[in-house]
Amino acid sequence: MIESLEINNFRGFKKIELKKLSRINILVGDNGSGKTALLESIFLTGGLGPELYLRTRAWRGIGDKIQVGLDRDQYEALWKEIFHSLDQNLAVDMSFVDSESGRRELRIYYDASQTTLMPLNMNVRSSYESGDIHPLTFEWRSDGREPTKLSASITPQGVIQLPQISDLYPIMFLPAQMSFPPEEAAKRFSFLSRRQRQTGVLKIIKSLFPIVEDVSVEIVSGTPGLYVSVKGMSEKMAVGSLSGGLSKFLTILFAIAATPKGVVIIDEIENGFFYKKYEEVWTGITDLAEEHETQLFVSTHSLECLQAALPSVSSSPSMFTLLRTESARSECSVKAFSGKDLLAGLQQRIDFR
Amino acid sequence: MATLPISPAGMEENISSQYVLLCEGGGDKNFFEELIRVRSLPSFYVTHPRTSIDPGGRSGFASRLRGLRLQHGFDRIKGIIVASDNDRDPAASFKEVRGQIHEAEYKAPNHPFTVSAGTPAVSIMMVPGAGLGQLETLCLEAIEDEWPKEFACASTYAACVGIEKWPNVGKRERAKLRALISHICQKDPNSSLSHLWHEKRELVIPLTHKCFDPISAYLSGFEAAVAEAS
Repeated sequence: MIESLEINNFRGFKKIELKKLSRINILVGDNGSGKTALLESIFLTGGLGPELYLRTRAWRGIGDKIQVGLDRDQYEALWKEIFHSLDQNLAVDMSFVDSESGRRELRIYYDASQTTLMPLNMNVRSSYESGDIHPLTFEWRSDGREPTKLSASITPQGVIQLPQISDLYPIMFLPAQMSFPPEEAAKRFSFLSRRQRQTGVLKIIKSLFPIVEDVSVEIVSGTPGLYVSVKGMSEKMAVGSLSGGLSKFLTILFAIAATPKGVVIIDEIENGFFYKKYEEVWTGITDLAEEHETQLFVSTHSLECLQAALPSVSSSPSMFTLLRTESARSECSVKAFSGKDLLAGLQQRIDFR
Repeated sequence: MATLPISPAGMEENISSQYVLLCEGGGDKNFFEELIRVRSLPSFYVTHPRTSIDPGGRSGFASRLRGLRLQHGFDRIKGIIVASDNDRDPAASFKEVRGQIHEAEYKAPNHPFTVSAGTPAVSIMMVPGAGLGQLETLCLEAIEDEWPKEFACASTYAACVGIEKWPNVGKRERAKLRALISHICQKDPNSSLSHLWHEKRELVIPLTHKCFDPISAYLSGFEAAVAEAS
């Protein structure tokens, strides 16, 4: 479990340090105050490669099509938003400490020791556009392991190469507008089913959606997908066609169960759920996170959703931490509150978002 | 006077002053807010535990104090006054308030009307001061001077129906005050002590009465006391 987190020069964060993180960390804050950036920092430090950052851009709605011209300006523009105040001269340094695996660090910087020579372009008018491209480099360091260094290099033809590392911290990011293809949901369910770990998930699903009797993987038109047996229906139905909320809840639960001793990040958990189901959503994810020792970082904008967490927080305040991102004069910060304070805030009906 | 910002959902939101006055209930809150307004006292963010979801009164102080930390504007707070009734045992009441402050992980003062150095500084104001009683004790004192004839009648009534023989002095005072409000407040005999202040009813209890002077003086001097303690 990640116990503490430190971020330097990443997006809106100049420097923050968070201690005493808990099994379930609820994240609130205004638009643009750094909520998603905080979640991204955990995801990036967990590691995958520079490709990961480009994926987070797509989640933010910036787009999933990337075209890079053959000049330094355009290459660096692609990564610029990673850096605090868009200052690409200062490296991004992030780290977290896991209670079992220890410290894990990530440094992001332009590696001056590597250079891509670009073909001569007679149309270049400004000095900044010209010059060699130093690739953006991600360097991870973990306790007891050799450092891993990967660069988003660019070929003279303008193709960005995005390598991936193998030393991954178990993290799953469920973005606000999550939509997973049926085969991915089927794959996750199959993963659990093979290990006979699907029972807990099904129990929670049935409590929130009592019409569901069973979940299984079926192949229709050659594509595997997740299907549910529904009370009163003679045939199984595809999860997605039955309920968007059910589909999302299954995705979350599978993610938690499939990431034991790891981290699941859920951005804007309230999306897709009817408000009366919030309480059971919290109960379900809390129970499952405890069972599988999975750590959760859950963001929400919804007051109703937060209030619905009261029974779960009340039954075990020490399992929770509240994180609130704040922004003033373009600087983002994060305040952390204990589970006991969170419980009091909920009991006293305080709008602490 | 500090006004309490309420979100559309009726929840407590921002802390509007550098000084907080935490009292036992909604009636006390209305009293203090009106006292501050009438006497042009320094601004306080007046609040109380939510009685619908916890026991309220003194036993809800710890939860309310913890909840304060989550409110926007908490970082601006310099001092908190926790106001509580002495009831029948001032020492025991004070000890209970201290316990609540400790439970919420604030630094509690060792004596009433002193200020603990801390961020924020905390003080405990016991009402009606050194003696037994509660806020109603002071209210009755003010009514006795303002409405002497009615007060005498209420005393006769209390003796006649046996209220004066009730063992709990606090309940005796509340019953007597209830009877007086019903008699004096012709616009709404059902009016509670809470709403007496809030809705500009008849002037049943004059807040300019001298019995409220010590409270006013304490609230006026709190900023200086906090500065001295820190």
